[in-house]
Amino acid sequence: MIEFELTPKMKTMRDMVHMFAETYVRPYAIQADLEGKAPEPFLEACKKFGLGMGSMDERAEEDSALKDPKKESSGNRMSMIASEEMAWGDPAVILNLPGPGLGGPPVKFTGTEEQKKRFFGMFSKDTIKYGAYALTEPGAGSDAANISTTCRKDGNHYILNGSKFFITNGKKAEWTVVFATIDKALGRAGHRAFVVERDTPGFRVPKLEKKMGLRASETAEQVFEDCRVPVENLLGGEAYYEEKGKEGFKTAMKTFDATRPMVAVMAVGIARACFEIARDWVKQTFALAQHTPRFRRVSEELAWMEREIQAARLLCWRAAWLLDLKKPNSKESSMAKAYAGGMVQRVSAKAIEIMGPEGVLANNLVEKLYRDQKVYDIFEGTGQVQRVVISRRIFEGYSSS
Amino acid sequence: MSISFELPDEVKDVVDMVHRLAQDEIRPHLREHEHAGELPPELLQNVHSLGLTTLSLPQETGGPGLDLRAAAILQEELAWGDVGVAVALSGPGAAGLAVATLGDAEQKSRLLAPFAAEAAFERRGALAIVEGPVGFSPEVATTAEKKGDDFVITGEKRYVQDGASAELTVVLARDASRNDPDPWKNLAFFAIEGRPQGLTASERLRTLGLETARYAHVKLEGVRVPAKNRLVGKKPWHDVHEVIAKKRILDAARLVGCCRAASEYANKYATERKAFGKPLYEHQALAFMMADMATKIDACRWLVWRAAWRLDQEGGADQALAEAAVATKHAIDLSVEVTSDAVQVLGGHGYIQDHPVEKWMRDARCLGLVDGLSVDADTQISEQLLVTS
Repeated sequence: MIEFELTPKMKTMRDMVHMFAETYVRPYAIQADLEGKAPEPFLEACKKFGLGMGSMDERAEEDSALKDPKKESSGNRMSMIASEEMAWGDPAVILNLPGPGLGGPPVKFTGTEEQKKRFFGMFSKDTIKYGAYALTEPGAGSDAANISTTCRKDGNHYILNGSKFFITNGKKAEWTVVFATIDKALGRAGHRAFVVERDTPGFRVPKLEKKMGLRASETAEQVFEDCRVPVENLLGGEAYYEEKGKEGFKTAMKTFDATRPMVAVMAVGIARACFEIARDWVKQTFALAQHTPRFRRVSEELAWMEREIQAARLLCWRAAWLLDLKKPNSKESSMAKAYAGGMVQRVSAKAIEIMGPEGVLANNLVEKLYRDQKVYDIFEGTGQVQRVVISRRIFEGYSSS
Repeated sequence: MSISFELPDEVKDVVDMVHRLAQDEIRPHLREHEHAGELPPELLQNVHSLGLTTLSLPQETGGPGLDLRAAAILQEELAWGDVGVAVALSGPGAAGLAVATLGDAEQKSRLLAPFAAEAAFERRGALAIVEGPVGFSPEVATTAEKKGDDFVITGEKRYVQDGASAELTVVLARDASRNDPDPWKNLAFFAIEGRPQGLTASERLRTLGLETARYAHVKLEGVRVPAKNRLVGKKPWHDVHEVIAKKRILDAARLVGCCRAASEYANKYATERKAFGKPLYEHQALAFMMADMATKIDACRWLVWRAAWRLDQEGGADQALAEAAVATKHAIDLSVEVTSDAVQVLGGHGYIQDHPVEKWMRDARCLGLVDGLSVDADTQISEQLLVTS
């Protein structure tokens, strides 16, 4: 049955998240960008509402839904609705939502029960703690299979050497899921994922990046110099890699199917924020000038923006719906991400253009959103990588011979 | 006359010189300038001594006497170094264009000659036209009232570059003594010298990019201007449009320079960076993107040159104004696309301040919008199309 109706549960959640975004995120967006850190009232509110990290019970419930192939979950669709509202509030501030962040999915998918308990157990509703995810390296971004951070076993430890780039919350995180290779020649089969805790000897954060946007979010470089990580922190345990062999790298890739639509729908939230600001500005500015050619032109542009936003949103929903049904969705995830990443650039640029000089002033939120949005076509796989994924899926099974 | 893309010999040499300056003095310091929020006196002095601050001045007032084509080419070159610098250089700027276009011989020499003096390397002009966010409208609220030998100007102008420090402020105002039903006919330009009483400016506006340029709102509270400073002009409609068209062409040329810088930077990166075992330029998704960037930049430059040529030939004739609007709108749109694509080629590295492309992406979105002089370029084009067809 084809339906686009939000369930009562989704509606309630959307309204709650929207209210949170409107009250605790949006009002601090510009200030947080200037200061380059998460606003205190936002963090306080996260604690108050227990937003960062669901309790272990909820987690267990979610896990059982994941494991039972018959049980349909709506978790991914729910997260589409919530993520759009949050990003609408402000895309940078919300990257400071406490919790394991992108480090969560690999621990959830691959971690042993003991590891899940240990690494998720430190989070609770009333603390501000973070996890992080480190795949990208100075020399390997899109080409993630080509990572050169090494790991070698030494007694009860693995010794990591290398560096990781562009790691969100990479300095303040309690732990980071770090991808390394036992032997580059093995390709993906040689990849291992470790949970590296912040105080591990040989681990340091030499630099925080200065970025065009998302300045309220911490982006760190991480360096591993003979960093000794206990064997118990090898994600999934050694048995997992013996058993799965070549799947070493899948840990990294699998999480993309869930995170790409999420990142894409955040771009939708940003675009919607830009659209609304431009729309309200037009209403106000042209209240008495609706007969002018300029008004007709900007009205048309607003209509075009809305059309772009809706198309992108539906691509995201479809990818999440497939995921909820436990069906393969990597093509659809990539479609959502590729489209939304480009869309938010076009829409935010247009919002600024409509507002002209008012749009480029730093006290106007669209100015900040324009700086923020660009990275949505870059992280979690660039627009170009998404296109490779999509076209490979389209032409799957064809061969040139 | 024929069709030719050949630079005149005397311009070629200057272009080479400006290119070297852009490469050696401007590009390497773009972040310092950005963070300082202004240009250092040494750079201004250097640029001034080369005659680049007075590009818009006619020869008889001490300027190089270059036409708009040559000025556009040099602006592209400067902006190739860094568009923030090209926009923020000292000199009479758009106010100079207004005086050179609308002033008589006496006004030109009296108002512009001071800019050519050796010590005037920090002297700036400002053009104050726009009053609201939707750009220019003939319903100008700023008034000029004749009192004795003076005009007394009262009103507010917005988004004026160098409005707080200009030693020559050219203001568009409504002549209060005239009451023509055609609002255009009541308009005139007035040149304010120095910083007279009643001329004040807001705090500097913080903007998305172009941090080296200083924009402010300007307030005129009974500013007295001698009657001889009313620019002679021809017909107010044409006067306004010709001045704006010339200013736009220089901005469009700067945007082309910014695009070229971003495109070349991305190309170079694509030869050095590898992904999936080969350099980026061997990946067609990126290679085609970069090919498109290069192609579109050339097309845009020719639009700018043609419009500059037409303005050189015909002044503010209708077709010249339309072509200037086309070139401007095209450059504004293209620069947003190209600079964003340049960031895209660099990926995450493009998003951080270790590389200049993120800056150029911000600068490009700013230029052409920030002073409000070009926001209506697109509607102007469609109106023009309807009139001429």
